[in-house]
Amino acid sequence: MIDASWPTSAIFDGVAARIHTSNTPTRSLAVMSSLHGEGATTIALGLALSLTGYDSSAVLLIDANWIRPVLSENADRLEAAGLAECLRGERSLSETVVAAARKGLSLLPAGDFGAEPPPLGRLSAFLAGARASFGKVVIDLPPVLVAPALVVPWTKTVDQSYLVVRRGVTPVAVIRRALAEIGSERSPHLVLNRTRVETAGWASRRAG
Amino acid sequence: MIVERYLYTAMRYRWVIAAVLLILASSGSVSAYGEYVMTYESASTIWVERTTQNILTTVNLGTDQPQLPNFQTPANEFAEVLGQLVQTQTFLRDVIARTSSKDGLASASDQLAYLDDARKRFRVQALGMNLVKVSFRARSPELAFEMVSAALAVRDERTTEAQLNAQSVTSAFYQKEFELAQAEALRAGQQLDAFNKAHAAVLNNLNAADDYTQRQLRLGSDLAQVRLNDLKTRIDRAGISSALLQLTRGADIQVIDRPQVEPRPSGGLRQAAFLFGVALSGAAMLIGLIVVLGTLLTASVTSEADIGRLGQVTLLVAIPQVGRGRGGARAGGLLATLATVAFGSGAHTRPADTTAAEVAS
Repeated sequence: MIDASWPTSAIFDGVAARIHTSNTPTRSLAVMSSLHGEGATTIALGLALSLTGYDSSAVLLIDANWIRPVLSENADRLEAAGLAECLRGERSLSETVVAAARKGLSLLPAGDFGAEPPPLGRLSAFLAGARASFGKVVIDLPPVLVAPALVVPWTKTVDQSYLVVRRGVTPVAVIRRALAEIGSERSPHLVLNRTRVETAGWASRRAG
Repeated sequence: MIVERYLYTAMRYRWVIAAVLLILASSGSVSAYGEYVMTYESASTIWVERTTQNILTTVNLGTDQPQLPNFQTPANEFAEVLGQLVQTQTFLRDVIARTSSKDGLASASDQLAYLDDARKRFRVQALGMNLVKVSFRARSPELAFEMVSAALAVRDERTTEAQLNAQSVTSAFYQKEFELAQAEALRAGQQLDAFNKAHAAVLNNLNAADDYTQRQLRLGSDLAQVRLNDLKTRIDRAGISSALLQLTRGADIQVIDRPQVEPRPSGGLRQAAFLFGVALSGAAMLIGLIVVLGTLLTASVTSEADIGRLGQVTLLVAIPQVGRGRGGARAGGLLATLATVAFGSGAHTRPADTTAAEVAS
């Protein structure tokens, strides 16, 4: 078990390193879960922070979780225009993106979902524009089984999607259903969250 | 959120849950309805007067402060006595013997259970200082009426009998004392006669010592006679008391509302609600058990080796659990910590309990 006093971004450095060193170039990546509470938003944020430190390219963190826009809320941008307005063509990306405190990191808030879902058919064009301005794009998606219509279009557009699974909690049947919703052609990689690291007591003490 | 796992299980087993709820709720409703429509209550309201001189008697009810008097009203006293009588088998047997259910008791395989059931159906309740309500719930309206009437009659008889017994004991005691006093009076009289006979010659001219002895003997004889008369008066008074007690039998209570044969079901609402509540509670507990066990027994990915069960899926990375380190951020606040790093110290961090996406939540 890792002590929380460690540098928090270090927890996700391993994920960032694997993404960076993968054979296929991954510039846009989406993080999602089967149901709420798997840790997808935390992993998306931690991953974005780690990626900013990995190289000098700018990272855009997109809050596409309109069900629970936790990132927008944490950045105090819950009411601000964002992704929804960009997809509707009401605002441009440059108008809605906000620079984060962390150098190299920007946030695109979720925006106002409105009465009807934003046109997700424009995702390809939108992502192309985002890739032109940012080195990496990390997208926080809602749970697959909660809002599949808001998730599946992203998984077909991004370079790689990641399904967060909580160890010992997420039922296998739920994961299978989520994978079936996403489809086999763009199968996501799994991120197993909250695994236990067994360390001998003496080793922990010596490590301080 | 861990709650969503249970909600997921509940959704998964929704038909089982619906069936359990339907079966238990319907059986509970049927039982409750049956209890309600098959229960008839007959009640009697009684005005109780205290026959003793005290307006309120004080009894020690075993409170924390025993020096403080606990006032007991006549109604409370009556309710307590009748409640205690109902607890006894002989009283219940006497009551049932006067009703139409005497054959039921005689033919019951378990008479104690029969009596216990009858005991539970009695209710004695003090309504005020002097007002008491005695009721009985039965399957038939006639039996309820008979039981209340019989209980009051048997209680009346028993009370009178107990008082008469007390009077008899007192009379017997006085009689014994009277016999002793009679013997003492006889002995004193004989001693005085013997003295007078021995001093017949000088009876009018006794010396000082003999005169004193004679006076003492006379005084003893007079005292014995007074004692005898006193006891005789007490014996006469006890006899009159017994006669009066028999004449004024049951005068301490007045039945304000006589028990009636109730034509419509009554008195079963409480038991019906209890039965329905028990059925619903049982259903809730069973459903909770199904959901909890279903959640705990549901197969989940516990290690990297389990990934193979999901088919052709690639595991990118396993992220370790964040503990509660000394001086470090609490595991539940990891998202808040990351948000502070990302968006600055002024970031509006959402509370951990409502954040759905914390690694350690």
